Amino acid sequence: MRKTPVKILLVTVLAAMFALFLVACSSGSGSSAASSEAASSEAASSEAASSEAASSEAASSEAASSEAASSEAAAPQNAVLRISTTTSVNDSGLLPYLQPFFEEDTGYQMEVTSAGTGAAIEKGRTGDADALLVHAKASEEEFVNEGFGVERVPFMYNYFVIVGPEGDPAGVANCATAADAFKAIADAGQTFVSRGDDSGTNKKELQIWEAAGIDPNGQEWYVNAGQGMGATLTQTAERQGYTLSDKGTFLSNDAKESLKILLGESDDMKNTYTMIAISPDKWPDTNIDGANAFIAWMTGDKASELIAKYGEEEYGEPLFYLIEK
Amino acid sequence: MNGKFAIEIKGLKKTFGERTVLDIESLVLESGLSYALVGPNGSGKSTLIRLLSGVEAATTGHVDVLGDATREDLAVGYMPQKSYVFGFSVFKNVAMALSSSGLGKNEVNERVNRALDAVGMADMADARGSGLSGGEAQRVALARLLVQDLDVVMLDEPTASMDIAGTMLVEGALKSYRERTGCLMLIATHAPSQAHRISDKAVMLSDGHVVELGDTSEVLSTPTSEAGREFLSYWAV
Amino acid sequence: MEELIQAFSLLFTPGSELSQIVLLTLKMSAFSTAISTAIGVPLGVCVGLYRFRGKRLVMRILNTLMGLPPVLAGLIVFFILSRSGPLGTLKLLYTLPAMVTAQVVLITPIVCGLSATAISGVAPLVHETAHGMGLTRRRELACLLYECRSQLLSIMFVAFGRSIGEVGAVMLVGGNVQYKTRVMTTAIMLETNMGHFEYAVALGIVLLVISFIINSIALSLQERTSAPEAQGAWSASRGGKLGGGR
Repeated sequence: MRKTPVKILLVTVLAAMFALFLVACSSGSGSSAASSEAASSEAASSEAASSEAASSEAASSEAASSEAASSEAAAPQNAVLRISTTTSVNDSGLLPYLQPFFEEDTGYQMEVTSAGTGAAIEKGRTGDADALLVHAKASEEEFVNEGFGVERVPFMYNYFVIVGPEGDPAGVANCATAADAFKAIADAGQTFVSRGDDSGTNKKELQIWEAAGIDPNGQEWYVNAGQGMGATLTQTAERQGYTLSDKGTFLSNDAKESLKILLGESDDMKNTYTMIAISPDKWPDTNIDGANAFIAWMTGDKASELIAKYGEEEYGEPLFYLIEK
Repeated sequence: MNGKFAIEIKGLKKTFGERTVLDIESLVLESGLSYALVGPNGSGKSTLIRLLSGVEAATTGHVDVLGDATREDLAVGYMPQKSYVFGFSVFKNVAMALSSSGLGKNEVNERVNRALDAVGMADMADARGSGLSGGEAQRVALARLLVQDLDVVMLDEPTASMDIAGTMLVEGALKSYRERTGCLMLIATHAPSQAHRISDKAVMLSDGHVVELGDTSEVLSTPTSEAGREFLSYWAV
Repeated sequence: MEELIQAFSLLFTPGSELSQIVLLTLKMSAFSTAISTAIGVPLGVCVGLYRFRGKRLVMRILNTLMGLPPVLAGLIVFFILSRSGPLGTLKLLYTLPAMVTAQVVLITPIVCGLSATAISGVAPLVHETAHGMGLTRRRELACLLYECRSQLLSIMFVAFGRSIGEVGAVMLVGGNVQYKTRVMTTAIMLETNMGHFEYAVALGIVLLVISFIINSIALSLQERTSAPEAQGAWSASRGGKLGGGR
């Protein structure tokens, strides 16, 4: 008699968990449509608020310079633009740096979320973003081919760097290519910390291992950290090992105090950043106008100038280079 | 402990902040007698018992032991108003009171059974302490005292949660315990009728002061103080 | 659904990464719980039992620490165990002991505060009773612990639950290293970051099921220590007089 309630409880809880799981699974189709709907209505209300603010501002400054009013772009229909990007872009501070210029010029409000490349692209698939700014060619092509993205717009690049301890016990600094460097690390049995999170950097790293003809998985010296670039760099510094990083994140991370760039700018370490507008065919609610405005602005002269300058002041060199048009 | 002794209370005072709950200039309790501590609620009965038992410290004043004994010689037992019974068996609850007595196992068992019998709880020796009713808990608490050899027994409303039958049983147990041990017994009670049945002397408290002291029958029939008359008038009806 | 089936079948495949992660998670939580109980309960008993100067301050500090953000606990342990930290030479960062240490920092105040509250609830009654019976201090303490046994047991399982579900501190000091320090919660974080949302939810459900099983065991243990026999006492007391009852 005592056991029956326990059984009922068990069944109830399992059923509840099952229901929860079904809800989670269906988010790929039905429920996220609802959520994007909610997001768009939210956007509409905030747009109303902003246009109201703009009009009252215009009224008060009517007598003042008309120049200010004209430089303020007319508020677009759907003012909220959701950009999903990778941690490396966000951690480098590029988007926060560009954001006020973009918003002033176009009247859009940028909402940036950052995650590993895998998750960043997945947000495009689930309709939770209007534009992507990522760096993983194969995944991007797959994404566009599936019809989720309009087209890939590569617009800037930088180089991955191999960072390691000052002493460089594996002799990476003397290598010509990244593949050679990885081989040297493996031969010396030096600790290599991998992001292991399916990010663009992680994918690049795995390509280089493949090019070097080495399978690092399960090796004692190969540490699969399963974390973002920042945390991976911290772990590399603590372990005094090697890792592959994008330059921007490394230069802005405290790890640079006990690690140094040992190899950079070799051809097999080029890192190209691409923008993709989410196709309205898959997600009708997506802010395609905003996405197009973002891509146009980012590839325009003003943004090019800003990007080319970014990082020079702080690190003595630009963090990103523009692809020549 | 054999021989005569007395407990002398001098200038005993207990205050909580501004409020004085007990203020006794002088009071002597003699061994071999049973005292009823009477008075209305809030008159300081419980406080006096708590101070004498040492579970609470007095603000000022002291308690001395006179006669053939010193404070250390006296075995003192105290039963609080709210009886708490431990979660283990009733038997173990009572046996626990003999844990420092150094008695053998057989002796302990025999005493515990006798004490439980005296309070009418013999058939519940194996019951868990946590499932008892208020009256049952009070009887177990009483058994925990009566199982010991005590020189001073203090009880705070020992029959508060009991019916008439239980009350009579407990009063009988207390009487025979006193006859057997010759201990000093101090029983706080709010009922004059109970004081009549179980005590030789009565101490009446009012607002923390001793207002009456004497033979129980005298105190309860011809009180000398205004407070005493008022208290008893409610019971006369 | 596929992911859930996949997750559960992986769970019962010996040698699979998931089963290794689950075992590590249980090991970590068991150690964290055991150590924080061993430290927290005696401390909590002392705080709950004794009156001393600054007790209110201690209680306030304890209550604050009960809400200690896991990341902060992790950061503190990180700085201590880091290469440049005071215990850097032990090379404990990114190991199981580091994760357990961070969790002990996190959980001990909770165990301590909860046991102090549990103890102080019954301590005055037990003290008065024990004093009246003439029990020694040691025996009184034993009785007090016995009276609080089921509360102390549930506090242990609160600690276990906190430990098994915690992610911030273990991520920081454990580093989420595959086969070494990756536990259920950090694995869920990783799958989420990789965009494997459904598999992440499946892992979450596996974690919930494990928690549920452990809590069920705890509950039945608790029932066995208190409830059934109390009910026995009830039926004995009533049954004897009313002639059977139900």
